[in-house]
Amino acid sequence: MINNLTRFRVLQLYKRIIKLSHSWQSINHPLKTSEEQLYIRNEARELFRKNQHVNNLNEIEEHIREGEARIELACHYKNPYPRPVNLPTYSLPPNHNRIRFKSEYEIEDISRPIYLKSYETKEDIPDNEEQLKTDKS
Amino acid sequence: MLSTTIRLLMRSGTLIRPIITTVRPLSIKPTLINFNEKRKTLINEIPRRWSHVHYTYPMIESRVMLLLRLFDKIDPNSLKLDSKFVQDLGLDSLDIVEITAALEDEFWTEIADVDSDHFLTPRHIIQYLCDKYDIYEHIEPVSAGKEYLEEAKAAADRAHHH
Repeated sequence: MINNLTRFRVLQLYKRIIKLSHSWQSINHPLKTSEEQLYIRNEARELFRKNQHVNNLNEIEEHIREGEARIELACHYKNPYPRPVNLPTYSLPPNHNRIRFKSEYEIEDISRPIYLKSYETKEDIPDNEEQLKTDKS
Repeated sequence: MLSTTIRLLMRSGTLIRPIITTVRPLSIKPTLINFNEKRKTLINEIPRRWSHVHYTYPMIESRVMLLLRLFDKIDPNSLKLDSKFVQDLGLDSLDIVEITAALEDEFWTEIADVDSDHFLTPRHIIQYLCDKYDIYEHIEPVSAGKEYLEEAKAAADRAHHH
């Protein structure tokens, strides 16, 4: 279960990110400094709360690694937004017309980099949009 | 949480600054150089202010309550000195970490994580800061003379009854 040391590390990481959001200056887009600061703070809030029910110690360690990787990448590339990656080979994008095989989900989980661990892939077209199209036509 | 404009207003509103005898310590990597021509300072070379500041209890209390009222997850109408963060105001441990980070920025000190675990009400925060800055004018002194007088009076009453 969650011991005090892990809890302390998670809170320390969160505090680091909040402090980073206070002192963040944007190099590439100087006018968007406050926008990027708000982005850092809101992303931290969302993702930490999304993962707060995780109980497995190894998973928590991986999420701590994810947070630290995000901080390192943001400080190095002067860009707080995560870098999107391509789909792995031998897998097609998620599509509502086709049933995805279990191996494709597994390959996608394995090949996703650590800094995108908390993000989920979006489906191609949601169902309600399809219904709107059929209603109009 | 505090937006940058409100933080700027707060910075101009707090007219007094503490004595800074050391450079402000960093808990993160020093970030980028500010390109603004007017203030060519690195983050870790913030100019020190040598004004002598007098810290009082009302000043600390008003600053802490203002900071808590500006936090966007706290309802300012239901905020009192003794309202508990977790039970009454419905905050998280992550929110308390955010509040502690804002307090560190406001009061230019470092607050350890060990200490921020004990922040359950605003009164605890104010008491912690008063201890940090050695403020005790708001505490009523307990004099040995008063207690002795009371005990002497009680003994005298007992002697009269007997």
